Amino acid sequence: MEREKKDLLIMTVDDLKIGEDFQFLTDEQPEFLAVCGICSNCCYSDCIGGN
Amino acid sequence: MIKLCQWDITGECNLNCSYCREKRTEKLTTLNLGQIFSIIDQFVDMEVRMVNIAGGEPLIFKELPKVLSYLRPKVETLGLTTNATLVSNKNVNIIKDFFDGVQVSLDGGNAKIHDSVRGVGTFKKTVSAIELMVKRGINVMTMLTITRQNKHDIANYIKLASSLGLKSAYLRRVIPSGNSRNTEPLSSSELFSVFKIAHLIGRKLNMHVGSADYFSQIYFDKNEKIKVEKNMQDHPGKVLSGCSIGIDAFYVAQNGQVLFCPYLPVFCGDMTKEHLSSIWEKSRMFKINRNLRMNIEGKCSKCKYLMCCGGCPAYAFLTEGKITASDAGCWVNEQHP
Repeated sequence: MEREKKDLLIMTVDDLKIGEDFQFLTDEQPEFLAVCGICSNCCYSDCIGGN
Repeated sequence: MIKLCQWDITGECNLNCSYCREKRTEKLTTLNLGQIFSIIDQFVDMEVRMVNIAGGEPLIFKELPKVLSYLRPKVETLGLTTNATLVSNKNVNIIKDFFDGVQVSLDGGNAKIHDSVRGVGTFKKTVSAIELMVKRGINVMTMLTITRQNKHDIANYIKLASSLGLKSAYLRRVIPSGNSRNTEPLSSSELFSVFKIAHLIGRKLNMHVGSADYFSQIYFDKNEKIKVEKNMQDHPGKVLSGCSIGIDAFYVAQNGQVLFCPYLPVFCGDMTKEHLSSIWEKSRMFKINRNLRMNIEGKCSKCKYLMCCGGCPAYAFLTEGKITASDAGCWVNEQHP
């Protein structure tokens, strides 16, 4: 069943209206040092932001 | 090396849950096998360690066995997120052979509540499927999405997961996108009460209670709190954990587009047109998230756990209209009885 929905559009960064005061302090990618209980115990959580 | 990819292999689903994030204007496109294999090859190029197959409902996708055969040898860990209503004796061996773990959506401790969220008859099918998978030795965990319909049934949910022989039960708040876009989110006090009950019952039943809402882990899980505080002490000023998109994780939608996350579908790139390495390097959205912690406003900016939590950027945007806003669902710096 393929659904056709109304609301959520794919957005662009501009839609977020990030202010000019947003500071890009690093161009580097932080390295996560800690692994929280989510990933150490589950690894398959629907939320990819949780770890 | 990238730690995790969540991949919605299809947008099609046999259910239409009341809070589902998948509410989009366009027809949901599913890629052909050639395009899918090309995406997998890009995972290999970027050393993606874990892939979580989600959807839609992944088990509805007819080409799934072929995709899994190609993907499985190329990643360390493979997970499945499913509503489990399509799990049967016919496909349970595929699940056992290919996946390291299965996350099943379970939205209440009884049929009345679960079915009110996910549709009539789904509770019975889901519970039977969990029983079948547990019997076959598959590593199953449940995930409840906290809504107004089920917030009073959390204790029964944990008890049910325990009675099904599971070691872990997870829960997370609903993120107001898709079908739940216009619903009023639960307040931080309401969420506090829900998580408190969940952890109390979990401790009593010797169940691990976890959440994708990381602040609840820090608050209620003593071991997690000790670990986090030690990490902060050892690595002052460093971003240690929290939203990891663009840092060590990313999300691919069913049409091959890399979006910020399932709940905040900000376009980051298209893996059918551009290599993942280029998206990873160039996406402005990823750069924003890599710098977000230093730009967060309000209570999160003053929270001692900023560098290991930072709240959920999608939740902040969808509730406050700003990705730099504090996470309104968090109670950590609030007073509670």
